Amino acid sequence: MTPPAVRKALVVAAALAVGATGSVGLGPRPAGAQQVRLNAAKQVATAAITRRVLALRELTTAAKAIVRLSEADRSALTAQLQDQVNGLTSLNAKIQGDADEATVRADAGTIVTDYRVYVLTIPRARGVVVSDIELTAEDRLSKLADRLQAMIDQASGKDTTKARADLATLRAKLTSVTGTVSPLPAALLALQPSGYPGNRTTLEQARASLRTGRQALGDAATLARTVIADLK
Amino acid sequence: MKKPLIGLALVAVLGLGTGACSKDSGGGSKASATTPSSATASSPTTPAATGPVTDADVTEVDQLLHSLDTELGRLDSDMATGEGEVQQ
Repeated sequence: MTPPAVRKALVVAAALAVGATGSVGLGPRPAGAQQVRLNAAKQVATAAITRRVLALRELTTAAKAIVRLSEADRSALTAQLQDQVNGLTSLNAKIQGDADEATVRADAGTIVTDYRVYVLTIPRARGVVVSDIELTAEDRLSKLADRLQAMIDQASGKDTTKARADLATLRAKLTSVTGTVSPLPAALLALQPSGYPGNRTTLEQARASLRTGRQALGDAATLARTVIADLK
Repeated sequence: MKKPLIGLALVAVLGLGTGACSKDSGGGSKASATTPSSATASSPTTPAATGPVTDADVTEVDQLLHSLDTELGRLDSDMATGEGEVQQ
């Protein structure tokens, strides 16, 4: 080819390349090692988001199975979890479109600061689910207590003094569970990522209350067996 | 051309909702499967809900308390976990 023909061929080839890629290769897109670092940063952010989304989805399934709490509490919990899934999914899309490493790093930082999935959302949701289980157990023991009362009332000719006393203690345990655990779902659901780490104390207190509730439920179950024995 | 691949991978994970991340480089926890209270609800072997209370009735409650213990253990684990790394 003559020199003009070569130049023409190069121009055509360049035009075809721009049409295919949408850029001329000399624009804002980083090249070489910079591009590798950018892609790596995006991969790390995506992995961090994916882990969180999977964890949130597991807890969403558990939240939907809540049986004892109010529909409002159950809906609030599932909505909070879904909002975070949606937000993280959108954030990942933004990160994948980021053009430079500094922007990726800034966006990746918001995975932690805007969501607090591991330090707040998951323990908060777990606390609500545990509250539901404790109140469900309290319901069942309360029904057993009613039946034990009927057994005592029908135990003619027997000294039921100890059985009555044990049943009263059992009911007191259940009352303490209700008083301790019932306020927890609302308190937990009110916690927001923006309030972390100041609201960590509320999480700790809720966990302690749930432990107290668990102890009382165990005591109540033991007392139920004791009343059964009292009446034999 | 890694960017489209990354996006595609996330879409696959988010869309299917299955599978697990093969590498937990950030050190953050994965939420453990939670046992809902309904999982221990009445079964065909559940003792009668009326009449004299038996040890079997209390055993049913014990099973619920066992699930509760599992969840409390998970709560402890959750609260011992940090956010982990989200950047290189």
